[in-house]
Amino acid sequence: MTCAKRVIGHALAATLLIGGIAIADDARELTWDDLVPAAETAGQPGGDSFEDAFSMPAMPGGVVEELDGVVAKIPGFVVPLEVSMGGKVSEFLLVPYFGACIHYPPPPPNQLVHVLAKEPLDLESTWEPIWAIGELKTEFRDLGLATAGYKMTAQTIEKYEY
Amino acid sequence: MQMLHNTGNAISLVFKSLMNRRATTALTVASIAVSAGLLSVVERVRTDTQTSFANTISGADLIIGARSGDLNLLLYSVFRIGNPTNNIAWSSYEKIGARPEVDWTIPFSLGDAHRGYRVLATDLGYFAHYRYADRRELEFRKGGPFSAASDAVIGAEVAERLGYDVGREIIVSHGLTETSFLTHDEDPFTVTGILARTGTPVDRTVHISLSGMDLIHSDGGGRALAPVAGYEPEQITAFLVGLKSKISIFALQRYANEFEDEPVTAVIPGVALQQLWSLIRVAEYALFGVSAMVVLASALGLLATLLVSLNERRREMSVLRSVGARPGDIFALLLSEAVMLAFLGALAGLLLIQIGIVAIRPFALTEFGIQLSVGLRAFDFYVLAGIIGIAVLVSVIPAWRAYRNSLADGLTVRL
Repeated sequence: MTCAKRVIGHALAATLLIGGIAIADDARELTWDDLVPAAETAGQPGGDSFEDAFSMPAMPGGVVEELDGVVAKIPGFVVPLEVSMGGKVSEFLLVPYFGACIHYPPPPPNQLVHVLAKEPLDLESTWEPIWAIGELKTEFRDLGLATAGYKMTAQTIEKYEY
Repeated sequence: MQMLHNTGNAISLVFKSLMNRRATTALTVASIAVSAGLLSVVERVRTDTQTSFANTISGADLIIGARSGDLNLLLYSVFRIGNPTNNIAWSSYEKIGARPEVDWTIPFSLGDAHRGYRVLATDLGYFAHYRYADRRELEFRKGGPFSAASDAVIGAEVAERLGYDVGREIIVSHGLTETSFLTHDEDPFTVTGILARTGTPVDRTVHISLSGMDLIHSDGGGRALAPVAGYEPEQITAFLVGLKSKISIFALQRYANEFEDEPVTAVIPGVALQQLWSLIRVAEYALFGVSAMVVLASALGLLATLLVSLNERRREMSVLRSVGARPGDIFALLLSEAVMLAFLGALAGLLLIQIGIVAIRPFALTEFGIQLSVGLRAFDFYVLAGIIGIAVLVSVIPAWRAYRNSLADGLTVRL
């Protein structure tokens, strides 16, 4: 059924693409490094520089303010947050590497994008990378530990082809 | 000749011809109906299962409980499937709940039952923060939340099945089965509220306060009734966490997984659900494959029936030719016959499973907690279109043979 649904899904996606292409063409392709302010590019995630897993404030993980409002296209892995009808993912965190949860210290806030998907996503597996395309918003929340991050309302989500 | 070029007439001709061979027609339609129904039902059960599971938890960012597997924690805490591995200390709950990233927490204490329905001890935060199905809030159909240790709030199905109303006294028993010989009958609970139907395990749950849970486990039952608000039990089973910002989800998860006081596990519900899907996907593929094979078998059955019928219908074809039907018309006739069989079969199958679903709905809901939905869906139309498409493909062979025969045969067929 999933196979049949995917075929149908692709057909639907093809028709939807006509609308999506406009956005996809304008979108600025960003890498995860682009999300890090120039001042703190040294010692990025995945490194072993984290002594204490909670030392996030030590690396404030600021956001690049200029990216606010930019229509961006970012590749990444999906960490599902909200699962809705038919098991589709409507809200997720986009992360730069898979298995962000256990093997590595948590990615700093500027290496996460909180995505709200316009069209809930039929996620085959969490190993599958995707492209999220939509308007990026920077967010700052003072929760005692300076937490800033990116938020995106994704117009289109595409499968990432290697 | 005009007769066949008028669509209405052509259809009635096909129909009459089929009616002349009632038995084989009925059997062919039945076999197509079974295959269409099977395909549709497999897909429906899959999506409805996923929806039922996905709708149960919404808005919570982490589930934290004693150290165990992600799936195990998700299943016992939220879906009430299986049993908790261990409890966690109240102090751990307080310590994690006091983190600056945390917006709200809901403690869960499980382990007791009332006539087969699970008892969940929690605090008033449950009614304020628990969300299901795209962030919908719990609503009371009648009454309100518990205010005393001996108060209980019951789910819609508990109320309906057991015929309970507000004010009714109930007795909670230890263990999870319908009959338990250890009943805490010295401490009856009073129903103070009935929740509106949610279509989730909440409907099948009896909710009491954490102090109520301690009350039924205290010896002698003579213990003074502790207040509901601010009550601190020694331990709880698990708790849900809502965060101020989703961005801090990994940080808190890691904090919990490396918690120093005792081993606990924190899972992101969406991630655990995804694990569940990938686990059952193998079975889904197998079921889908089998259903597809059944469709193929029924298509071959259709082909066989049409081919066999060709010989006995040579005279029919000749008669049609003699009244002016062209060989192309014969070809079209057979093709439309196959389409009609496929259409009738698929339609019958899809409609029959609707009846079947209505029949098994209550059972699926109470036994498995799966809410099956009635009504045709987009997928059903794909099934219909797909089966008709396959019928057209396979009927090209008999249609071609009929076309050839009609060219070769005269009015008098030499059999």
